Amino acid sequence: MLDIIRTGLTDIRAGLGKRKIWMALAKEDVGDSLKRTRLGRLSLLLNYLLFVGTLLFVFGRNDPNYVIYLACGLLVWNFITDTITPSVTLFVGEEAFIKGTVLPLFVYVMRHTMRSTIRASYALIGAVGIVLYDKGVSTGWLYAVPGMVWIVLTAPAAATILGILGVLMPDLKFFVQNIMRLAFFLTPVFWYPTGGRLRDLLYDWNPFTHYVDIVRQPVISDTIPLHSWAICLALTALVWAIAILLLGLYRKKIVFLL
Amino acid sequence: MVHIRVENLGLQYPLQKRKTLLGRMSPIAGQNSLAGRNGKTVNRVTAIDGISFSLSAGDRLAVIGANGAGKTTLLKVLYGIFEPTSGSVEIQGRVDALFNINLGFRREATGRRNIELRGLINGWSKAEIDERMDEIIAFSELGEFIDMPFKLYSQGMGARLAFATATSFRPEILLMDEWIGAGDLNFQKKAKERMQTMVEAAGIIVLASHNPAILRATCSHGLVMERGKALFFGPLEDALAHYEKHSEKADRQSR
Repeated sequence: MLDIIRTGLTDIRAGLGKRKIWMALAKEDVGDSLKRTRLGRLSLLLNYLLFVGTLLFVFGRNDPNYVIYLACGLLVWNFITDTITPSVTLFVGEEAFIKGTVLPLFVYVMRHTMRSTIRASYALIGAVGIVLYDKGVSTGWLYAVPGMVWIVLTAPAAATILGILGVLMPDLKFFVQNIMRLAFFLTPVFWYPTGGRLRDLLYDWNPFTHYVDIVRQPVISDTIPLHSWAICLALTALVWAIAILLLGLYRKKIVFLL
Repeated sequence: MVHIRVENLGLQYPLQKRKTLLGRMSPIAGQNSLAGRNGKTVNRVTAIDGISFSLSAGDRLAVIGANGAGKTTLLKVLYGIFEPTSGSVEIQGRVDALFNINLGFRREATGRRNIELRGLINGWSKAEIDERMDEIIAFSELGEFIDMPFKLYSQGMGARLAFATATSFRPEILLMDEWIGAGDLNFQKKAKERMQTMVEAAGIIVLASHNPAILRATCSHGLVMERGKALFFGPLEDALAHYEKHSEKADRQSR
């Protein structure tokens, strides 16, 4: 058991140490995906603004805070799906690298996390713009910063778990895709939890809710959602524990399973 | 002092099995588990079985054997991609490998950027990359193409860049799966010279190849492998003779 944990931690430490590699590769990845587009990086921002605008158009603005509610919710949600959905094929997609180099597996995890973070940073510019325009500056925002940091810190662990499970169970890819698509509707990103029992239940028991709320609530009401924070702290710790164990267990085996 | 000491090395790995939705284990399509003795299915493949040898500075080892004998697997164990299941590998010195020299080249990035990325992946520092950059560009003969995207290169240009990048270091221990070369006749000559200088400068070489001429020109020792086992380890000429005799015997038996 201790050996497994040590193997996992060693890989993580070694992967973090190769920061230059995953930063460079992530930048190339994001750049490649925009290479032939006319708008380039601006399209990442526009895509986010369009998404917010469309939902606003569809659902109307019944509540004065709805724009901010939506803007923050989508910012977090997009990062979550952008991290989780592709992570199932994380190691499968790096087969040539894993079979041809001795880079730590965590390098690929960080490359993936970095990619999502770069893309999200463009949406963040949009979100800040919307909030500034709609509400103006407030010190309560500062409480949202640790929330965002915490979500980004959770991402590598979630990606590690799903990446390894994706190697063991190739079918998982389709499930995760669908679950995440569904989860968008089950998470209070564009709806309020005041429409009956089912919505309240989803609000309380959907873990994604709380990750959204640690960013959104400070911006809307200048308060810190302590209950959601407690859940997020515990969940992230759990996710990391599982990630370290799985990494320790499968670090050496992955290359044979690909 | 650089050295490699391999003792009673063994590597077994599970046949590719994946959990299906039903929770049952089943072999993936086209890869049935092997039937072993007593009709039991064998779930593990023994890729390397009890190999021992030791090399010290100046030794050049040829790994000889038919396809599937375990040559590449042995190289990958030495490099650290595969973890051995039994025995031990003790290596003193920096190990570099020339396995897949095209790995990681990006179509959209320029040649220059690709050299940087490849260098990072190889573990070179920023200073080392800068130091080698001009030399790699000159050797690859890419000229102004170096600042254009890789996807515009002809196959030969891509191969030249890959070769120039991959061989621009001075390895202490060099692992090679087949001798590499690239480009048209002129470049091939240059590539050959470069490989020779690199090989001479290296402390230890392990080269897997089917080409006796290249092995004779490069290696001092030979390791003959069959089905993961070492049949012979010793001076190169003896190893080649052993391999020849052995394949003739196997050939006669199969007739």
